Amino acid sequence: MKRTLIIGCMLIISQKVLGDEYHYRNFLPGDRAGGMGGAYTAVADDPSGAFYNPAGLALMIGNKLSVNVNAYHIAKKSYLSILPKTTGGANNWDLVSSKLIPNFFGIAHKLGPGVLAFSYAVVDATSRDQEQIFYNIKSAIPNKYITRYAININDDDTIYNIGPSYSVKLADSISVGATLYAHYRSGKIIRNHLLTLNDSQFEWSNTYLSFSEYGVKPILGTIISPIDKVSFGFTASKIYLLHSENRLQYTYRGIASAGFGVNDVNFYIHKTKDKRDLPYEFKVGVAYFHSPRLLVSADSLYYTKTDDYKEVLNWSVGTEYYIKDNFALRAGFFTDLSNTPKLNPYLTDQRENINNYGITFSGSYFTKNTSISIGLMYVHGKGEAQVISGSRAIQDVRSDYFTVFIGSNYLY
Amino acid sequence: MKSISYILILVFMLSNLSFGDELRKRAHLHKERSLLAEDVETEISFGKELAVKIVGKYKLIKDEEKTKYINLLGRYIAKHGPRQELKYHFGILDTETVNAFSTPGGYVFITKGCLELVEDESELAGILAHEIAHITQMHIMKNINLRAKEKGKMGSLATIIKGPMGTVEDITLTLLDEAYKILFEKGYQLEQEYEADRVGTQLIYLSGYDPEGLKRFLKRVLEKGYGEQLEKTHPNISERINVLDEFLEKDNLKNLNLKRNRYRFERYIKKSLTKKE
Repeated sequence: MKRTLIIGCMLIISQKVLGDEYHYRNFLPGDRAGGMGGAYTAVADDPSGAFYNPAGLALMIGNKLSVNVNAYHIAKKSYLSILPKTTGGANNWDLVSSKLIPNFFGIAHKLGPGVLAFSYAVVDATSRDQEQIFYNIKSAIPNKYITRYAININDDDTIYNIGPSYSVKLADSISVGATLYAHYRSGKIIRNHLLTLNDSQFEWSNTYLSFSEYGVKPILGTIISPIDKVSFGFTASKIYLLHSENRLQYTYRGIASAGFGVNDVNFYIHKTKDKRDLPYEFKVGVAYFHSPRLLVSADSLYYTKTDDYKEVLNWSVGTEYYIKDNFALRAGFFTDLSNTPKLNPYLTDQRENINNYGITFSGSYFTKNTSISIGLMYVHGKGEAQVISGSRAIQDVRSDYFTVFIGSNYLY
Repeated sequence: MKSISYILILVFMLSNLSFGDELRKRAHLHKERSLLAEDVETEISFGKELAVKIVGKYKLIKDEEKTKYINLLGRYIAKHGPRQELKYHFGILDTETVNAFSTPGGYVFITKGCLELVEDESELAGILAHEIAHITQMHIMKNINLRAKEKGKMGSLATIIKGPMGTVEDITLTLLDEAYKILFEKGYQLEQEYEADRVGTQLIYLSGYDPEGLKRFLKRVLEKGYGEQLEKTHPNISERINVLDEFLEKDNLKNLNLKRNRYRFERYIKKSLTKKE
């Protein structure tokens, strides 16, 4: 196989730029929970409790049907000053994902001594379809520069959770619950890179990576209210992967001066069934129900260290205030820190490390048996990455996610 | 083993607390509890139809004086309670059966047999207040899950809904049958009867009558041997008297020496009943 020459540009394909598996809180399912920044472990008294804390289902008033749609989700990640221009300065490389997705459906109904629920949640989704062309970029080869660099991207990566929950009240002040989600992840990464040098040589690569995994995610939870107006919530969960499959097809044609003839193309297929080692998640939440109009809550989320990821501690705070009996406003703040270590300047090909901070805001209008909500979520992140293969160079990364979500609940 | 014991102790301690439910009632639930105009409209029209069925079973006594008296008294008591949007109607049923009935929307009936056991106005007030409480607490509406369809942007009129099948007329008839069975066969739920006793007792106290009137009447029903008859659709009377007594004690409503109006009652009801006989 002839030597592969990457002309001072980005790594064509790497685990580093796949779907966002370096964060655990990419979506906040549920209109109420989402509006409160996901600080819902001690509240959880609607169908989205199946996801946040199944113990909350038993505390629900009436039977409920809940639907939540991310009307529009756009995520932009910029690798700053990564493509140096021949005229000075440098281009950023942007990855943009946008998706319209129904990310939560839940129904909870009183059955026997407790409440039975069934829910579906999309906990992460990336969908990129973009074409980019950069002109006149410096290359790693002396006296040569890239006149045209075209990148076509088509990525899709979605994680689904679906399954039943059951919750019972052991007493007025204690409830327990469990959810058993089927976890399913499916996606593909398609990248096409074509670089043309100023002497008309070109380098081309095409990558097609498909992957899928499935497993189970049990969630155990409890909610207790030991003092007036205050409740505490606790959950423990973990995704147990039962199957994982990745298939990488890679095609590469280097420049002539690197020894590639007209018909020389490197081609290989790589398959793996390695499973990710995912952490235990422990959540502790507290909610203060000041009055029927005001609620304040906070969550702490701890993810254990695994062979693949470092330990993470995230936070959420949220509030809900009824400005009228039939209209509530909510706001929240949350962290979504990276589960990768900080980049070491002496190493190469490291995973990116971006810490995200989000704010949420939503409003709900209530009629007798229904409510409709609209909300916004904005997440800003800063960090570092190494997207140039074999290089110790570290790039600054900035990410911005913006989500508009709508949701509806029906009490029956 | 030790940690399990600690958990059990914690569960036991927490089980004696009761902060769980109330704190979660958010402001919009007040809206859920409050009634819309179309709910009231539905309730009244349903109650009227049920009242017609009752009058079909037992005829009304057409005595203007007695009917006027009982309506004045009943409306005076109802004035002291919630649901002021309702107009209450009271009637006397021509039957020796000892009972009283009410239907949603404000229709209350007392039987001639029941009136014969009553000795003063506070006792009658207690019976009427108990029936008014069934209305204000919407016991029948809750038992048959009757509510007005939510008035949405489609501008739908208030209709009776119950389940996905059947025409409105079919459903109305089914619900009427269900409500009729509650009144004449099954009776209300035990807790609803106790609630009606308690709310009714508070109501007659607020109206200025002796709150022990209902208790005295129930005792007489037992003494005169009508207990079994009333218990067909009501809880065991001895038990009911005990529970009522606890309410009176807890609410400090015992031995208040409030008005009983025995003579007025006799003037309008007792004498005329006797006269007829």
